Amino acid sequence: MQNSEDGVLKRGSRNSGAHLSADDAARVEANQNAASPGDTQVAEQARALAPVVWLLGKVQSGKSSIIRALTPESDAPVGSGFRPCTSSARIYDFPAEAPLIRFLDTRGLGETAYDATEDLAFAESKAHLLIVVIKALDHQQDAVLDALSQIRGRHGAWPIIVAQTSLHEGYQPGTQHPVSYPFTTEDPVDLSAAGVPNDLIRSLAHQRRMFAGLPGGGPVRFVPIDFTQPTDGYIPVNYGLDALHRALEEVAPDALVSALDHAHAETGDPTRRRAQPYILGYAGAAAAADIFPIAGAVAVPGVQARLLHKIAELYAVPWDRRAYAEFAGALGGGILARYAGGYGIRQLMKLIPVYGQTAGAAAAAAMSFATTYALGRAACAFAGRRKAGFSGEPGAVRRAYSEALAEALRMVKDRKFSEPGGDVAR
Amino acid sequence: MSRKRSGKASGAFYLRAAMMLIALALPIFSLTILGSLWLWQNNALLIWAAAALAITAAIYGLERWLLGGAITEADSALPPESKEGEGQDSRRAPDADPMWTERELAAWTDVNELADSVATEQLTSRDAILELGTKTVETVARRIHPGAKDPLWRFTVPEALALIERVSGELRGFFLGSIPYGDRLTVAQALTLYRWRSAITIAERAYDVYRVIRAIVNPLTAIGGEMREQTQRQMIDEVRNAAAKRIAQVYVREVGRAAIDLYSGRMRVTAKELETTVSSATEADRKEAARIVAEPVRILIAGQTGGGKSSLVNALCGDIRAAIDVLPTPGGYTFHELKREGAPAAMLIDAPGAGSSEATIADLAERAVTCDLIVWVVSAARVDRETDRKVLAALRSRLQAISNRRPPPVVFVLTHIDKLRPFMEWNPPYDLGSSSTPKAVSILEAMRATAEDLGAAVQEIIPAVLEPGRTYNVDAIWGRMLEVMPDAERSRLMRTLTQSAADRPRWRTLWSQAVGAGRVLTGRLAKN
Repeated sequence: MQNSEDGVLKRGSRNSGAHLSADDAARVEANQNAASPGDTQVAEQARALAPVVWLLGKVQSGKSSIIRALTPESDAPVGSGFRPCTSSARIYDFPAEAPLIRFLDTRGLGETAYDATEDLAFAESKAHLLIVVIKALDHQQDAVLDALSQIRGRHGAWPIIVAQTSLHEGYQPGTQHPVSYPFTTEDPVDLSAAGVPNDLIRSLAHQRRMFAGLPGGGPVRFVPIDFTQPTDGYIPVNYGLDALHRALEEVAPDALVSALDHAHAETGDPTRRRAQPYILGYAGAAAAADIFPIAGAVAVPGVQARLLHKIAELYAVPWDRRAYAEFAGALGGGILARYAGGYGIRQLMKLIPVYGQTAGAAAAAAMSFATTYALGRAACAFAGRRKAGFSGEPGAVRRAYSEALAEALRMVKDRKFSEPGGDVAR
Repeated sequence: MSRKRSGKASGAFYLRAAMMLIALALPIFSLTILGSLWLWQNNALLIWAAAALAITAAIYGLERWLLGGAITEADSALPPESKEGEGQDSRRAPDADPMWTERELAAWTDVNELADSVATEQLTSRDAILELGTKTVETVARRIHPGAKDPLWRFTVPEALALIERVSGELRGFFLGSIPYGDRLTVAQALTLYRWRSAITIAERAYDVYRVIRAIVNPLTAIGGEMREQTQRQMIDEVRNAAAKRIAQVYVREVGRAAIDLYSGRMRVTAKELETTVSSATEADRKEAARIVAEPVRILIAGQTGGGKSSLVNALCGDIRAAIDVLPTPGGYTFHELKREGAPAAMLIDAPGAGSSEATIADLAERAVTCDLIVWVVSAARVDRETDRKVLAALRSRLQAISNRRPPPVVFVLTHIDKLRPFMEWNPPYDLGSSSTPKAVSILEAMRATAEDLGAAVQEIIPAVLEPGRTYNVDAIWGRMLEVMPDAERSRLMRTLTQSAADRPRWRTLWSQAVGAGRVLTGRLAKN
């Protein structure tokens, strides 16, 4: 990776037609090596829109494995990425710089007398989905059930996904997972025929019964999974991940499903896949700047400048004045000019009373999201091309931008940029 | 006809037998006379007399020594209750009841004085003995009720009955305790004390006549014989007097002791109690005897749900006893007895899954107090040991509060070690000491983490697998249990185990074998 001093936007860039102003670039440059107040602010903005997944389960029940499986290409070790947020809970932002999804982990569970009140208050306005994580053979779940009763007593409609983990503990030593994932059915005869040990079938059924008495009418989906380490020898490593995704699609709010879906970039090189969550996260931060009346919010151009820098960092290419000029050129001056004009109009729209506060803000946020996303994708194409020595067709960057823009506008429909509050989950 | 003939025949038979006896005895008896004659003719009679004297003296000394030993042994064999106030040195201050008050202790001193001053010569009749008893009771009564007009009758009828029963019981214990030590003593202790004395006197008188005649017939033999008789008589007198005195003293003391209790009101028992009352010593002995036979070693098996408590019961029993299931077994405590030849030897108490509620913890702690050993079962597949820690802390503090005996030791069993990484592998045995296969390392790590969480040393954690048909290291659990158990319980349990199924290995060496095989950490390794 190049020295980061080279990878910054230099002051006085001639292509000032774009809204990436010299001031923003300077600010990025000045705070290159430490998390600047601006960076913190961007992360804060992204958090405002990022859906929260509340993981409820005892120590080592497999919560981190689920986070690892749901957040692809994450290079940060999950365990150390957690920050404390309440006295008994901690939170994992993915990605940390501009969270796309946030995972809330209740740590106190399994210890005595867990009081969910504080975590509930924290999660109430934020949690978009509750995933309960229990080991398939662990039937001592009083603490989990107590907490769930408290939560569902307040929010009876919240959907719950119960992940029943560590299926292999129910197998005879040396036995592999049943080849085709059979746990789509709950019928013991079918499960037995598929080679699931009898004790495991009964354990899973017993756990389903344990949750039957919960208050509230929200859906409760049980998903037997086993996310192991590659060295453990179980194939596949993330057994039941597809079933978990299906369950999420079924009960999770659109915003979360969308965030999770698009966090997986199906195409492109590994760096491109790693960059995807960042692009989404920064796009969210940009959108949030338009929605929320956040004091000292980093406006869209500032967020985009940081995104470009992050992408350059991921691709390990220098990002200087020349590079920026080339990127602008590849993107086409026209797009940037139009975009700059559009930015001005959006700001004006927000000033219109009533309309500007709601629909206008939402439209502006959607636009900010889409353009930031598209810009990020275009930057990826540019950086990839540059790294490979400017090979490939010259129009690739521009095409990436327009494709990504269309894609982002489709996403925007799901994300529904409006202020969260109340029962966020369906 | 036939009867007449047989009568004649038997008469002839006796006559012939007598003649034959004389014929056989005469030559032998003639030897005595001829021997004396020979001694006299050869002037060796004096030498013979001296030798006979020396032998008599030696035998006297021996008898004296043996007799003294017998008396001492008789003392030490007495039941402790009646031994008080007894002993070769009768002036030794006898132990008083610790419950007694000052006034009662004073009465006890009086009783002892009376016992020491008893003149055995006076105890020649039943009336004399009864009088001695009455005198003892009066002494006590006056001392305890000094101001009362009629001190002798200060008790109720049931009290008197209880008194009689007790004195009889205690005296009986004394007599029984003395029986094995010589005929001479037991005769003396017979209830017909005075008759025994007159019988001796008659025999003595008859013997005196014989001595006179003997002196006329053979003066030299008579001298030796006379000297022997004198020493023997003295010896018999001493024995008789010692025995009589001892009995009299025991009698006085027992009566006095009972009288003290009588006048102090301690004998006031209900009629109902009277029916069932046995002496406290008997009761204690009975209880002890029953406990030894009936009381098994009580082993409490506790831990969280799913840890493998029931599996451990099964593994320890060697067959399927506890209802084990992958699901939590319903219900509270279950009991499983290991029986051998009809006598229970170990009671395995399977506790319900340790929960976090105060009531269940307190319940478990109280249960633990009644046990000889506690086995705490932890699953290696689970790391939520906060509950274990909390319950164990409560348990430990409760056990520390036991004051009347050593608190029961705790043994830790780490189950499901087959479910540790690498998951796919299970090829026991694993040597935790020297080898470093990934599985052994995992097991060791789990043991260390468990030890830290539960506040135990690593070598106290016994790793095991208790799946039916796939058990591993159960013998090490037995070994560890035997190691930490108090000696008495250990021997009881050992007894069962050694008598149990032949396929079981020798328990005595199990622990050392387990340590040697590296399935349990040795102290040296744990420090590293």
